[in-house]
Amino acid sequence: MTRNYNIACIQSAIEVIDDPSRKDAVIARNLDRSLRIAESVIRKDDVKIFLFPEGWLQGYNHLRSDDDWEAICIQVPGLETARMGEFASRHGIYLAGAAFERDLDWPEVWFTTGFIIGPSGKVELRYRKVQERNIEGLIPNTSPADVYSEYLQRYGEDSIFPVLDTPYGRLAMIVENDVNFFELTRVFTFHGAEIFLHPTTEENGSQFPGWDQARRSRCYEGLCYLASANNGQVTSESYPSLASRGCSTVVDFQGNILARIEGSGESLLVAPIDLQRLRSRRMEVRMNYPAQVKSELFGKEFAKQVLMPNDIGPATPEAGEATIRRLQDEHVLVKP
Amino acid sequence: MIAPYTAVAVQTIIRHVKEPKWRDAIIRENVNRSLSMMDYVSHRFGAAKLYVLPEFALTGAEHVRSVEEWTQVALRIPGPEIEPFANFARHNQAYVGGGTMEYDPNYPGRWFNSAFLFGPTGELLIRYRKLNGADVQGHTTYSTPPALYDLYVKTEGGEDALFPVVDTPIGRLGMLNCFDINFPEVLRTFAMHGAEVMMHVTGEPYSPHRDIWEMSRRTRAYENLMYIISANHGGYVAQIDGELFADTPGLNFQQRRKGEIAPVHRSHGGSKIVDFNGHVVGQSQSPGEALALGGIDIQALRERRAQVRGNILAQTRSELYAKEYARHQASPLNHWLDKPVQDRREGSANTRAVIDRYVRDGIYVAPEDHQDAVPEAVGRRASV
Repeated sequence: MTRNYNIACIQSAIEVIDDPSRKDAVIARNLDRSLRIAESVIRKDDVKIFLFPEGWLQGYNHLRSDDDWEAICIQVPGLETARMGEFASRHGIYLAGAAFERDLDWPEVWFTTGFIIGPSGKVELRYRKVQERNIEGLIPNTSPADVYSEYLQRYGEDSIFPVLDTPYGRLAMIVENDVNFFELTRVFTFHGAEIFLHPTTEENGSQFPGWDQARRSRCYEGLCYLASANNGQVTSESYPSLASRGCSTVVDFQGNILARIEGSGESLLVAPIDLQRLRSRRMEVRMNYPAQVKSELFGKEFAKQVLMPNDIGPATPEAGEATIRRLQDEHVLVKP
Repeated sequence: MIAPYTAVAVQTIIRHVKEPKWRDAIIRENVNRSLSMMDYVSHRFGAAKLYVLPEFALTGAEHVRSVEEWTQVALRIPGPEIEPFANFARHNQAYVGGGTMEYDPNYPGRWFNSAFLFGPTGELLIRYRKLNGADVQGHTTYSTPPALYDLYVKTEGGEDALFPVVDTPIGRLGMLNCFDINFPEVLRTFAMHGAEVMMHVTGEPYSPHRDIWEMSRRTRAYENLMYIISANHGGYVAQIDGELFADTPGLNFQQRRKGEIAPVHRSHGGSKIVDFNGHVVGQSQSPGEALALGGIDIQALRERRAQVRGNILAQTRSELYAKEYARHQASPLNHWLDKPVQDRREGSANTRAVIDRYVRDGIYVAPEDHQDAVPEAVGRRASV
């Protein structure tokens, strides 16, 4: 087992696919640059895990039509992950990121998908974002919770919360908005997760100090590491180039910020992971929240009050409003 | 529509019931001093609507006391000692909450670390018993409702008794106690029960964890779109052999004479009010006696909760998570159902058993040099 190693968050410059007919060329340029940067980091630091932002191959364009969103999706595994696999296997490292993805066997839906490619050259973990922003009308895709029953039928009981055992610890992924939902990281901790890889897209705004707090709380309450890689500079016809806040961050298992990029733009963050210390901490009784939490009690309580339900089909802002109205009727929320 | 109002965390220095024979006198002093500070608020700042006192505000916490002695020292809720707070609430048309160690004859051989809330009619509106603490940490011997779950639910007439929320003209109020703040599930459940303002009675000494508890407070408010009022104590004063050791500015440690003497400024103070965006809107900057005042705007909270964007509460895929929680066993219910806790170390043994099980089941990975069953250091003092 490796005691100490480095993890790298690449705060990538992203060329956005504004015109879907140029999809392959844009993805190839984004990918080339990513792998060249990773290669130079390997020369410089002993990095074992590389993390790229959410959508760093394709980019967000909020003016994109529903058809264009589907057109820019890739497959995981697919051509792009095969190229990354060749790189990962040549260097004996792990590559992780998130992309807009469609399973050709299930063409009716598409996902925001985190994935980890290992030294085997294969996609070793595939996670579909649960707390998807489709409910806010930001992206017309699907969360596994939206299609829960069919998802389990297609992919199996444990497919929603995958963890990956590696020489560098048990890895799990969450994507962007997921970081605000403690239940998600708690469930992953129940599945053994030690290190969360968090590709994200965060701009500037009043809500983001809350995200920063949430990031740290997730680590403290789960005794885990969390690495967040955010977008760097963005090139698009409809997006300000430095609108991403940057601030890629690595938080340790005490909830302390280990390293952080203090701003926006293309950048790189390398931080040390001490797996042995995390594992020693988890052997201590005091403040051992994943072992102390009354899971049975809260499982019962959570089952009594549905917030956002499963199986509603791809969520929309209308579904969000309907949920709020129902919660008002059920006296969870009070109508203003 | 509820007009904005002022809430106050009343950060007292707690006189500590070191010897049971001084119980009544010390509780009276704690009550009287709390009331003077509350009177000061109403004279100096006008009418506050909501007052919150710290955890174990009336007796202090003597961690090494026997269960039997605790059942003698602890208070009843309601009871004559805290009746003055009910009177204050009635007289000032306000709400007064706080924490106290509690004995309830329905549960012989046990005591609780509890919180109470009186309303403007003088009526007891909430009695909450701390859900997480001694049963998993091993620092003292109070019982938690989950540790006697079946009995508790039967005695109290339902599962909701663990999460009491009261609907009032100043919003839906709930309470939590100290360590509870670090379990996000507690606050989420309260939010599911409709809570909008959570009163957090707490007793937080300086420790490597304190900065992160500050983060917990803010994250809990942010992720549930709720107000959190944390009232911490400002320090301890011990009474030894009838002699009261006053809080001496600049003197951080009392002379060690008999039993446990904590540093006077063992508390970080820092009582505060956090709004539903996770922003601090009022705080005490220090230990010692202090007040943290802040504005509560329930209408703004309700408008915020009616929006889809960033509505972490309404967006939570609870149905998905409930299933996953149900598939997993962390700390079980009912471990003190048949036999009340006697020795404070039983709590850490409970968690040790879960950790060992996690290692066996592959949920935790033991470090390379790990030896099983490392004994807890003898005499190791716990923070609360």
